[in-house]
Amino acid sequence: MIAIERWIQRGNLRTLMKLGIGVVVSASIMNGAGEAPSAGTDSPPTAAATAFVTTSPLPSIARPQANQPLAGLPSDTHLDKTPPRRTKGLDLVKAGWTYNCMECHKLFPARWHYDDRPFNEHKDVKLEHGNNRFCLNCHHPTNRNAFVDYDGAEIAQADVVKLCAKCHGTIYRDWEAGVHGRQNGFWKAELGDKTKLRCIQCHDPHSPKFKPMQPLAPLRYPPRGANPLPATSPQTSAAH
Amino acid sequence: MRDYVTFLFRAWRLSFQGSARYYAWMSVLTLISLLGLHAWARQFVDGLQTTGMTNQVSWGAYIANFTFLVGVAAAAVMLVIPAYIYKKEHMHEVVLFGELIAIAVIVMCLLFVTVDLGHPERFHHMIPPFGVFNFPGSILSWDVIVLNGYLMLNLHIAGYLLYCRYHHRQPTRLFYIPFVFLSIVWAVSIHTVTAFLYVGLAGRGYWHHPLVPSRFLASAFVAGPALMIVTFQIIRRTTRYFICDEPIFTLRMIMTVAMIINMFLLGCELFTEFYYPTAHAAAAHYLFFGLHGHAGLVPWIWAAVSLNTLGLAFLMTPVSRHITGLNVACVACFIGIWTEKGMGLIIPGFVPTPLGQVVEYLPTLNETMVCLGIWAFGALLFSWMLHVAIPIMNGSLRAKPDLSAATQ
Amino acid sequence: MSHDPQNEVSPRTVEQVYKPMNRRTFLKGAAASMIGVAGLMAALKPLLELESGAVTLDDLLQKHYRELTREDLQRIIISLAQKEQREYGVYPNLRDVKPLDGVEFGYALNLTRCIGCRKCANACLKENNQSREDAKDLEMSYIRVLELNKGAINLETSDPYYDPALVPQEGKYYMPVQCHQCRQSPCTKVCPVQATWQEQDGLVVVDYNWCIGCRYCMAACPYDARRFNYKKPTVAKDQINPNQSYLSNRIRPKGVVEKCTFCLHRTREGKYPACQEVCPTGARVFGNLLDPNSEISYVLNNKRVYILKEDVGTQPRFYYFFDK
Repeated sequence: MIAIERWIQRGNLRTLMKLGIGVVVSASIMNGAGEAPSAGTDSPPTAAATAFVTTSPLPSIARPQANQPLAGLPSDTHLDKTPPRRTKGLDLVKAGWTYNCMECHKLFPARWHYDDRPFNEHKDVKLEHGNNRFCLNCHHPTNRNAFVDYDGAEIAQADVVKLCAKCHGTIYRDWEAGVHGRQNGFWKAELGDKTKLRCIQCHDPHSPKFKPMQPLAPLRYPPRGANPLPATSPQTSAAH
Repeated sequence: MRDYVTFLFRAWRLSFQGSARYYAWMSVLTLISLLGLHAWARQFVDGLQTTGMTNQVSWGAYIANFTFLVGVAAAAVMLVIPAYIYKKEHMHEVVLFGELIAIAVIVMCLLFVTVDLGHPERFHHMIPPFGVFNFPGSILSWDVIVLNGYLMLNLHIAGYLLYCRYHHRQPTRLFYIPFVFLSIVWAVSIHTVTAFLYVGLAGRGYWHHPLVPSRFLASAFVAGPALMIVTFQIIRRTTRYFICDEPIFTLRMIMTVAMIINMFLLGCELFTEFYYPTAHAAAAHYLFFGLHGHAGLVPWIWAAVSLNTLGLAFLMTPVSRHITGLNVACVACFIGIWTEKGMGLIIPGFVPTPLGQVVEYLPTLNETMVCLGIWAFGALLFSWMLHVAIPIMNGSLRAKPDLSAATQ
Repeated sequence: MSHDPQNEVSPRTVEQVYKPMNRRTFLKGAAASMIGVAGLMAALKPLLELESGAVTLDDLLQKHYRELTREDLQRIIISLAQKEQREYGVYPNLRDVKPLDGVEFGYALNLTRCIGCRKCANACLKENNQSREDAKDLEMSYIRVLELNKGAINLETSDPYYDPALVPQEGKYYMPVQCHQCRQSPCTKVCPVQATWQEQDGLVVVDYNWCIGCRYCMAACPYDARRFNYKKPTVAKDQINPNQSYLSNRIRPKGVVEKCTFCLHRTREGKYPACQEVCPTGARVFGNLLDPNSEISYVLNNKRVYILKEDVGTQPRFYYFFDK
């Protein structure tokens, strides 16, 4: 105790304070940096971080818009060919984002279960994919930049369709034939290319059931037709 | 040829000679015709949006009137058969009037089809060699042939007989008897072909069954004679032409039988459609009871059925032996059949659409004006033809008139 | 049996016609005729409002499409493009697109996947320059999307007016219907002037300059696939699709019938039709029936395919199928 007092008196207090500030600053940087790749909403710092963070969090990084790959011909400006889902990850890769999941995941051990621990990251992911309970059913346990096949082999990020084909073989077969999901462009190969949509452009991989959407405006009773019924009554009655 | 021109000239001059009542009648009809023409000109410029027709109910009042009037035209044969086949002498007095009615009514039919077209100026597209005529595939092409043929037939027969009478000479049998017999078959064919327009459409269950042509003919042979009975009484009152009772009561008998058949067939239809609940009967259900809340035609069809029943009751009972009762029966039957064939046949064929959509139809003011204009024009034409024909039949209008003789 | 002698045409009256025409009768006749002509002119006054060029001699003398020479057709196309420029403000890329050899078009619709969003019906309006009062007016669209209860196939129970917040609704399925380009088409059979006929690649087309507007084809169609221009089409200038062809999506005149042509201005150049391009679920499958490797052949060989109103006998080229 006396040795410590004497060390402090020897003027090392400043060093200690600089060290303490350094720890605080680096902890908050780590906290802030850890926040950036997530959904962008400001989630409250976890209990572990708040012990160190006293200053305001670092500004979040503006993320580039996800580019939708071109579906069909550019001359069709009047046709709305937007796929139902804006994909995030793989399009960021195409935009030049170095999407290296292992930068974080090399620090943290692989955990199987989805539902029994609090997340720091990926809080927006709700796994509702049929009977799947485990993230590692699809994600590779040691290389998070890839997906996993039945035998533990890696499926590259660009081959994400093969991952879906693991279980949905009949749909994959139909997709290959051009019968599941939409094709755009040219049906006649000699005159031009056709483009297919990838699975994840319509189906969110964590919650793949096709989301209901708002329909466009309905047909109206023709203007010269006589005796229209009031708008609230449906055309079909219970009797039929 | 010069004689014929003189004949036409005299006929034209005669059309402007008449009593004050004649002038009033013709003026009113001309006025209504001109109003109808004006309404049609509006339609020609603005397109058929001036009517109440839609994509769902694409045929309306024009085709309804056309269908009904083809039936009335066919009914001239009801005078020809007793006169030439059964050799009833007294019918010969009135056969000519049946043919003149047929001419006026066919002209009305052709006008109704013309005003219904989106591009009436392109009608020459139907006439080969310039046009392309879809014969024999399209029943409409058959209809064009038979209707115009019937018009030519009646123009020839009536014109030939009148012209011979004008010249006070006996008509050559070869020039008219074969045509008269042809017109019997042809009259039945015009209405059968018009019925086939609807029957051939397999996509419209309400029309696609064999009772349709049967009811067409049965109702035509009620409406036509009804019109003729009323016309003969007008001729009796307004001219010196003598028509005895026999033609009128022959027509009454024909009407009675035809109306019995028509009502029986209606009963058959009602049973077939409604005995067992089926969606095949949707159109009939719409007509008689309403469908999915739309019931616009229900009062009309029940009114038509009531009028027809009333007419039949009068016809079958001694009530119609008196001329007043007969007139009431004729008017009731005429209006009832017109409603039944027009609204009761055409419109339910489109409701519901083949995809189940229910859209109702009501003619607009402009459309109604065009219809009235064509009816007025037909009446005008028929009145004019009578105004010329009766003096010829009476002997007053002759090629070589005896001007010094005392008036009869 | 009484008759009223005052109202008959008596012989004395008739005698007037035998007398030669004197000045009085001539003037009377002339006056009457002038009144008549004046009445006729008044009645026909609306015709003055006809646009110039609405009915020209060239229009009336134009032959049927199948009898036109190439030069004639080119001339007609140029005059039509100029007319569209005058009336709608856009000079279109109007051309005649001929059918490809060895092609018979077929279309299949996956009823498991259709969610009833109506994007196909809207794309059709935009692609085909159809008349619409506002952006939401679907009346002239060639595609009708019907909502049916699961378990029902009877079209009499269908509802084209459905408007829920989200589709698909529980317990319903959705069936878009458009022209099926039938092999035994009733519409081509009944047209009196053959303004509509089947081309070699199976498409049923309409020559808008030949159609007389009788609407018999509309009565004959078992699928309610045809539309009529009851008025001159209203298309806003910025909504016009300038890629047009003579037989398909050029802006129609009033008074003629139009229908789905499987976007032949696109499909005959090898592209997909507009309705397929926008379907978000990929429920539509289009292709060449004669090519055994096409997607449509795959559907016909591998899926549970059926035909709407098969009993009518139209033998359509539009098929419906289920995935599950």
